[in-house]
Amino acid sequence: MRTNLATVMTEPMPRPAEDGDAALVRRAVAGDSGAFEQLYRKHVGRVHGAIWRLSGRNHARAEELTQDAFVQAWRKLGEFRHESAFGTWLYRLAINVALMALRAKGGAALEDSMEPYELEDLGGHARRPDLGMDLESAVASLPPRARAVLVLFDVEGWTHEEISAELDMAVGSSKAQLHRARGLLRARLGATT
Amino acid sequence: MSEFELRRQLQGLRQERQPGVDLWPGIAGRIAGPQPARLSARQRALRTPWPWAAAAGLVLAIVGVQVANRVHRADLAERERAAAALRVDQALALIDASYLGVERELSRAGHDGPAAVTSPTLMNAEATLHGAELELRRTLAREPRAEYLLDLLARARSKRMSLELQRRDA
Repeated sequence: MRTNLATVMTEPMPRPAEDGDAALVRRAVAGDSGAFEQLYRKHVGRVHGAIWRLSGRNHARAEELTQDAFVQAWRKLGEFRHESAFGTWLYRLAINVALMALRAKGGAALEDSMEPYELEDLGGHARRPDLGMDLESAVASLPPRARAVLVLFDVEGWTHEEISAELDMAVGSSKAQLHRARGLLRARLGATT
Repeated sequence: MSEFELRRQLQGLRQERQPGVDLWPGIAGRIAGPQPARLSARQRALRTPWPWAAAAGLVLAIVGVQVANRVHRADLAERERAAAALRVDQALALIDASYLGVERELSRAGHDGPAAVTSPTLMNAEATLHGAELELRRTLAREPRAEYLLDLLARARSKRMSLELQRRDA
């Protein structure tokens, strides 16, 4: 069930002109930056949305990482084998770029364990758990590693196996982080259940 | 909020989001120049998965041989153990048989002869030897390949019989 759901959800949102990507990719591989710009325009919303959530709604950081992801994609276009949709390949590459950068940031931004976490860049409303937060603020306020697992599993639809491979952790750790993240989320939302 | 509702709402967060500014000019500036990602045929060949498949095959073969060896060794060990158990049984039967005459004589003396002298020292020594003998038998039953224990067992038995005779003769 989860696998099927994950398969569906990890695929980029359906695009009527997906086939057109192949031709654009071939032109881009040949050095046509105009073709690559078309690919960028087509996929940037999906890529940036995922990175923005992973980075805890940090706008500047997310934009920087989105740009990095597309630069990396340009450099690695020659490795794209056309065995999957370009959108899927780009999305996975972008998530990887984001996670690597977030991991490198500050030495170990994703290496938190069970330590309390400072709320970052959130408004006063978000700092008042007694008032409850909106869901996106609550997700953004989670510790980085717990947030990454929750966003990848509950929002992006990845499986624990995929998450554990990407974050270099055991499957059990991924499950534990998800459990922890949901608990923190409920607390921050002021949920009673 | 129920678990289901929480997860449903989280799934609802999965939406596209445009950056606040157009990132393309910055990307275009960084990718200006020849396409570095275009790989030569040789580079493509080097990146194809066959070397990895070959390496994986080699690893699998090594692991397979090791597993087969381990199974073979386990089989050999089991055969050795069975053969040792047979040898131990035969040796124990010989030990028991060699003292059969002495035990019969002691038993007859117990019934027909004078009452045995019961020296506490001799009795304790005999009990100790008897306990050691039983322990050696149990160990040999568990691990028949410890055949070196047979010698100890024979010596304990011999010593115990000597003490018994000594006690009778005292």
